[in-house]
This record gives sequence, C-alpha cells and structure tokens, in this order.
Amino acid sequence: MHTILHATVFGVLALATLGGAVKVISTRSIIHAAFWLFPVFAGIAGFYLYLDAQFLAAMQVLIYIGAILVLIVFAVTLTRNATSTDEAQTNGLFIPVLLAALVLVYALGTTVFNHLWPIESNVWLDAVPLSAAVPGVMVTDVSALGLVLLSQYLLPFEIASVLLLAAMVGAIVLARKERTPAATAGVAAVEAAPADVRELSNV
Amino acid sequence: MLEFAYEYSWLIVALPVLAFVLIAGVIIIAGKGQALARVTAPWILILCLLGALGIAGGTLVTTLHVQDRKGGMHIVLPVNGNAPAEAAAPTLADWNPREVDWLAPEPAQNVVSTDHPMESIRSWNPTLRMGVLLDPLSATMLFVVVLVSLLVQIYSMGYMKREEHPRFYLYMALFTASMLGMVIASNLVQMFIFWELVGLCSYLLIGFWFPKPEAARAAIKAFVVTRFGDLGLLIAVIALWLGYGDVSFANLQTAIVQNPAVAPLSLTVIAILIFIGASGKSAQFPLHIWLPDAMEGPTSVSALIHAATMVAAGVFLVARLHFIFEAAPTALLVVALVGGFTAIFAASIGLVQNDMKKVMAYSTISQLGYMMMGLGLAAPAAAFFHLTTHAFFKALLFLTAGSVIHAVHTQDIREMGGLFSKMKVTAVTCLIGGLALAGIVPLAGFFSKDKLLEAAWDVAMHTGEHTAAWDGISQPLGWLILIMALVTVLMTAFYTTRMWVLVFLGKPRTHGAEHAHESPATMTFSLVVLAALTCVAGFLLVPMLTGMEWARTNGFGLSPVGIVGLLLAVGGIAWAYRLYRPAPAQEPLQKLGWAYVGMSNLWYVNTFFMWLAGRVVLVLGLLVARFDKAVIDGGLVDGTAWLTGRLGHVLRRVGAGPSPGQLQYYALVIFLLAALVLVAMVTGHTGSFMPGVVGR
Amino acid sequence: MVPFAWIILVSILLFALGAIALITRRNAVAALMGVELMLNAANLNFVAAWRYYYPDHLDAQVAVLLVITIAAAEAAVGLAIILNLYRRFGTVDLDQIRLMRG
Repeated sequence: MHTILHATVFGVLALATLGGAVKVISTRSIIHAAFWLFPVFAGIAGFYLYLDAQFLAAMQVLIYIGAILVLIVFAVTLTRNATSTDEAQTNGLFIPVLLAALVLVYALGTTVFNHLWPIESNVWLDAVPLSAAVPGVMVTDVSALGLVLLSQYLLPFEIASVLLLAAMVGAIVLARKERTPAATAGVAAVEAAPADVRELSNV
Repeated sequence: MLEFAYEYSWLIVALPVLAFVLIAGVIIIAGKGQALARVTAPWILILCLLGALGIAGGTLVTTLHVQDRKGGMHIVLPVNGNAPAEAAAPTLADWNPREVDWLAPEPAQNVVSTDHPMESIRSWNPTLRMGVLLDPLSATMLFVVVLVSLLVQIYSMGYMKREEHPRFYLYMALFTASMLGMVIASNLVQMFIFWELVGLCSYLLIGFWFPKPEAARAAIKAFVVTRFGDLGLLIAVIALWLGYGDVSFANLQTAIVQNPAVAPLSLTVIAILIFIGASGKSAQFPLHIWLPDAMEGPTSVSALIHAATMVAAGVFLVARLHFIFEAAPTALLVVALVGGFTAIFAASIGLVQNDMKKVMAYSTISQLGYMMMGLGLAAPAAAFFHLTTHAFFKALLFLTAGSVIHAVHTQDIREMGGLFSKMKVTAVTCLIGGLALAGIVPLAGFFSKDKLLEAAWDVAMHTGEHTAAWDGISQPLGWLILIMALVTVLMTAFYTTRMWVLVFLGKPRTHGAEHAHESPATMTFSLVVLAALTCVAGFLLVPMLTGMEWARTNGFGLSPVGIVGLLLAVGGIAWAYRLYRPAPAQEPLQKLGWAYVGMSNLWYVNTFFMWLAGRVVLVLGLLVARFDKAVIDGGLVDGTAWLTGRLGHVLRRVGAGPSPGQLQYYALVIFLLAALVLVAMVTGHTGSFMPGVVGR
Repeated sequence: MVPFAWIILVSILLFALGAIALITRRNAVAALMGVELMLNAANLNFVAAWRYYYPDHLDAQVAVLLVITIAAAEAAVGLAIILNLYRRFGTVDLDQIRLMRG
C-alpha cells in the first residue's frame, strides 16, 4: 500500500514532467510550447516537495513559473509573428541529436546503476531519516539554509547577487529600443527610420 | 670616524639616483621638448652632484685619516711588501665592509647529498648581499668620479645647448649613479650589476645622436665588444662564487691570501678571465676597437665616460682584485705584457690620427695600457695613482677638444691652426693637459708616470723588495716591458705636441678656424678647474696614494729611470715641435714607409675583426642558420603549424556541418562529444557497459 | 521512497529532452526553453542525491538555489538578446541567423 502510494505519486510527477517536456519539443505552436513548460516546472516542484525540499519547491514555483515562464511567454508574444506555424518547427538535426541523446541516456543510466552508491540505487527504501544540519536546526528548515548561505557560502551568494545585478543591467541595455535621432524627431522621421524599427512599432 | 663615513656614504650613490628620478619625472611631466625640462635637468643633476661631492670629500678625508692611524699607507692594497716590519699589511676586512642580505636563501633543510648533479646545484644556497666597502681605493675613486662628473655637467650646459635634450642629463645621472655604485660595491656580484649598468649607459650615450648612422653603429659596436669581455668576467665571478662560496672582496681576500697555493692553476685562469673582462671595459688590445668609435658620442660624454671614469673601471677592477693576481704570477705576466703592448700599440696609431678626438681616444687606450702594465708589475697603487691623475688631465684634454670643436665645427686638426690667439683659455688649459699627458714635471702626469716607470725598472732589474711580479716576469721580459713603456713615453709626448701645434699654432687653415671664438664661461670654468687640478693633483695625491710605495721610492725626487722618461718626453716634444711648427704641407711621418701605412690603417686590427666576423663567423653562422631554417624551423616549428592548420581545415569541414554557420549544429557537435566523453569515462571506470552487473 | 535510480532516470530523460529542444527547435525562444529544461534536470539531480545520500548536508540546496538564480539571470539576458536579434534580423529563426558562417 505504502509502495503503491509512492509509486503513484512518482508516476504522476514523472508523467507531468516528461510528458510536458515531450510536448515542449513537439508542439508546433511556440506559445503552446511555452505553456507546456508549466507542467514540467510544476512537476519538478512536486519532486522537490516529495524529496522534503519545501523551500526549493516554493522557489521553483516562484521563480520558474512565476518569473521565467512569464518572461518566456512575453518573449513569445513579442516575437509572435516571426515564425508561422505552417513552417517546420525543427531543423534537420533531429535524427543525429536523437542518437546523441540516446547515447547520453544510456551512458548516464549505466552509471546510475553501476555506481557503488552507499545504498543501492534500485531498491525501495523506507524514508531516509533527516537530521540536524546545525545543532537544533533541521536541514529542512529555511533558517538552516539561511545560516549556511550567509556563512559558509557567503562568497558565492554575493557573487550571485552581483551576477543578478549585472544581468539586470545587461538585459535592460540589450532589450532597450535603440533611440536613433530619427526616432525621436517625430512622425515624419519614423517614415525614414529603418524597416525593423517601423515593424516593431507596428506590433 | 670611519663609522661616520659608512653612515653617509650610501648618499653618494643615492643622490645621482635621486637626480635620475627627478629628471625622469620632469621629462615625463613637462615633456622633453619643453623649456622646463631643458632648464631644470642640468641644474637638478649639478645640485645633486654638489651634495655628493661634499659627502665624497668627507668620506675621502675620513678614510685617509683612518689609514694613517692604522699605521703606514698599506691598507688599501697589499702592496709590494715594503710595509714596516711591525705593521702587517692590513687587509680589506680591516675596513669593516658593511653588507646586508639582499637575497637570502631559505635555510638549508635536510639537504640530502646525492650524486644527482641537480641536487648539488640546489644545495648550493648562495646568499647575495649588497654592501659598501670604503677604503682609500674606493674613497678616492668616488671623489674623482663625482668631481669629474660635476665639472663635465657644468661644461655640458654650455656645450650641449644646441642639442636641448634633457635626456642627456638623464643618462648622465644614471651613469654617474651606476659608476659610483660600482666603485662602492663590497662584493663581486654587486659590482658586476653596476658594471653592466655603466656599459648600458655608455651604449645610450655613445648613441645619443642616434639619427646619425655612425653613432648608432658605434654604440652597438661598443656594446657588443665589451660584452665579450663581460662574458669572461661573468665566468670568473661564477667560478669564484662556486669555489669560495662567497663573493665579498674582504672574504675572498682572506681566503686567497691564507691559502694561495690551493688551486694555482684555477686562480690563474680566473685571474685571466677577470683581466679579459677588464680588457673589454678598459679597451685593452685586442678589444680596444670600440673606444675610438665611441667618440661619435657628445664630447662631454667622451670626457666623462670614455676617458676619465668608465674605461678606468677595468683598471679599478683589477686593482680591487689584485690579491687574486698576486696569487697567480702568470696572470701578472699576461696583464703586464698586454698592458705594455696596448700602450705602445695605441700610441703608435695616435701618432698619425688627424681627428682630434681620435688622437685622444688612442691616447686614452695607450694610457689605460700603461695602468694595466703597472698592475701587471704588481704596483697597483702606482697604477691607481695614474688612473686618478689621468682622469683629470684626460677629461681636461677632451673638454678642450670639445671647446675647439664647438668653435671650429670640425674635428680634423688639419683644418684648424692658429687658434691660440682666438681661444687663449682653451689653448693654455689644453697645453697644461698635454704636458701632463706627456709627463712633464711638475704636472700630475709626471708623478704617476714616474711611479709606473720605477715599477717597471724594479721588475726589470729585480731590485727593491721581492714582489709577486718577480715570480711571473723574468728579467728579459721585464726589460721588454720597460722598453715598451719608455718608447710609449716618447710617442705620447710626440703626438700630444703634434696635435697641440697643429691646432693652436701656425696660421688658420680654414674659414672656420679663422672665425673661431672662445667658448662660453660654463665651458671655460670647467677647463680652468680641471687645469688647476692637473697642476696640483700630483702634490696632493702623491702623499695620499703612493705612500704605500713612498718609503721605497724617493718621494717627489727623480729616480734614474724617471729622468730617462722625462728626457724622452722632452725629446719627443722638441722633435714634434720642430717637425710641425713650420706647418708642413705633407705629413712628415710618411717617411716611415710601411710603419706609417700600418699605423694609419690601425695596424689592421679592425680589418682582421671584419674578416673574422665577415668570413669565419658569418660562414659558420650561415651554416647554422641553414640548419635552423631547414630542420628546426622548417621541420619542427613550421611543420607543427602546418599540421595544426591542416587539421583545422579538416575539422572545420566536420564541425561546420552540412550548412556552415548553423548555430545549433555547433551545439550538436558539443553535445555529441560530451556524450562520447561520458561514454569513455563510464567504460573506463567500470570496464563494462552492461548495467547492473559490474560494481557490486 | 521510490528507488533513487527512478528519480535520476527522470532527470536524465529530462536533460536529454532539453538538449533535443535546444538543438532542434528553430525558434530561438524554444531553444531557450530547452536550456531551462536541462537546468531543471540538473537541479532535480542535486536534490535527489541530497535526500537519499547526504540528508545532513545543505550543500545541494545551496547549489540549487544558485542555479535557479543563474537561470533567472540567463533567462533575462537570453531573452533580451533574442529581442535584440529580432529587432536586427526581423526573425528569431536560428537557421537564418548565421553570423558565424565560416
């Protein structure tokens, strides 16, 4: 019973994740592909919950679904008329990449089964007991993560902060509409502006 | 008192360094073409040198005072054994050289001696020290260098006005600092570093007018030729370092004087290598060929570097390391013979030179040979005495030559004449310098030359105290050296008079000579000071320096051989005056026939070197170059590049895919390769590719 | 708990699918989605290894957090680049954007 419950939960999550991923690859419509990302991210978040990483699950929902997915949808809508669904959505590399992927899956799968794990990797387990990361604080507590993040991992944490800042600035600079003198000069100048600028202003 | 001198002597070196830094700063800030840099550069250097002169004077007085107190004049160098019996000759260690660790090695930890050669080299853990050694030798040299440098800088303010390059003073400051650092050095490695630095400055200053191709060529020639000598010196330094584990002069002297017979052959070889180094710097035969060409530099450079100080560095080096030579009598013979031969050889070429600066240059070579001969005769004090007096009167002669060239705009003495009435100060000071060079009593050159002739006489006759030179130089060879020295005296007097008469007497032979004017006061000031020094240096320096040998010789009096030398000098002057005063239309020396041809062709030494370089070395070099081009460069280097290039072409075909530029194809290649690497790692790790079988 | 290998297998498959998306999709935005899939696969790997074998360490969680951070940054910059490309070429079809044509 216990095993069946676990298997069911795993099956649902794996189906959501992998099925969503397959649809992301295969859907012709790019906006549909973007929406199919939702079950993937949600499935991963479910896995995190299943694996007792509640905080990460929350972060997964917040950042991947709440931010990145929305961003991707925005990007899709901004570039919507770029590729019509009538054309082929994939290039001619599908067969070779499928072969490469199979090789990869085979190699990694072999490793997973062959590696001398501390506990065998292909057996059912009772719940592995969780312990205290810091005396008095369970590993699953957010406070434990906060403690580690601001002590042992302070430098990576700060570097990541700087990286985020740089990414923010970079994204703004890159995505900003280039202000050509002509574009600011008025309607008459818009006529004279390059084709791509006009096209974008029509969207 | 000596403590006091040690306390402040480093400033003598530091002040020119300060001048160098300041001038460089001014040039960088103001730009070298700006008036600010042009005006301030000489003054910065002169003020710094004035300060250094004061300290150097104090150091000299202090050092000589201590020398007196220590009993006799025997401290500077272990000389000739005429020390008073009760006072053993003090050594360099008695001068308490100060040294600080500069590069201290890690303390040797568990050095396991093995047979592996690299191990023995690694366990050789030398300490490198920087230090100061003040004794009469270095103190006197410091004073002379600072004084001549100061006077030359003052002179340059007048002479170099047209050039208007503050760079000149920058190099001069660097040169003075390096020269002083070399003189004050307490060990061989430190000395070698500064030795190379003065070589660099010489190169920079000879090529100061580098747009002129001759100047650029001369600079390179000087640099390359002296490098030959420096190689010998470097080998000697390394050999001494390896052999004695120490390079400080004091410790080396203690080690060698205590055990002179430990390795006589090695010491002889080392001494000769040192002498080769000194030959390069001091322009001894056959490495003298760079010095005449070095006259392409500004005349004040010639005066300071190529007459008074740097070229004397070789003599200074041999004097400093004379204890090694004393332990190797054969090396003494080599030094004496080469020195004596250089003296007569260069003097003979000087007889027929028509370029005023070239006459001086060959005269300098000849006088340096004289000093070397003195060192070889185990009379380092006499040689060093000649070095100091020569520094004064040769600098004076060069500066007067510069003054004349400044006025007449030519260097050819045949195009001068009759300048006496137009340039009285220059003419008189030049006469004083020339007479000193010829060795006329009572000018400085007479005393020092007299001491050298006496040394030659003693070795030839084997009279006086027994010296190391007796072991190396047999009596016939001693006679040969003495005769060479005496003939050199005659020749020196002859060419000096010839030059002076042709330049200053007779009628002006060209337009330029007719309209010559006396040089500005900045130039004549230095001339007068140097002339005064030339007049009195003999009297001032004799008690200071030659006290070491003073008891043996007769002080200011004339020795028999000195009288012969003086007579020869007077004879040479009279002969040359008689020949050249009537302004002969044709060179009278042409009557010498083949000798004249040889002399005017510099005895074919340059030709020989050109042949050596052009035929032998070049052919060998071509062979090596061909091998290098075909096998090393063509086969290995180009082959590798070719292979890589071809491989790149092939890989580009594979990597770019069916339609080049497709971004995702590159990603596919990367992904595929990563997967393959993974497969390789997995199979390598487990040895099998079957899941779930291996590893349990 | 389900066997460790099962979760890892999901992770591996997700990674492979992400790679396929990255390499085959012509639309640049879709290719970027593939990158997100691959990053998620890696994260799942971290968390699973932590839960099963190192439950007393927090290193994996920190790593996942950092990866999520970087993924966010990457998505922002990547999409900005795609917008820029769109503005310059009028398309986001990677087959037609060939500045690296050799």
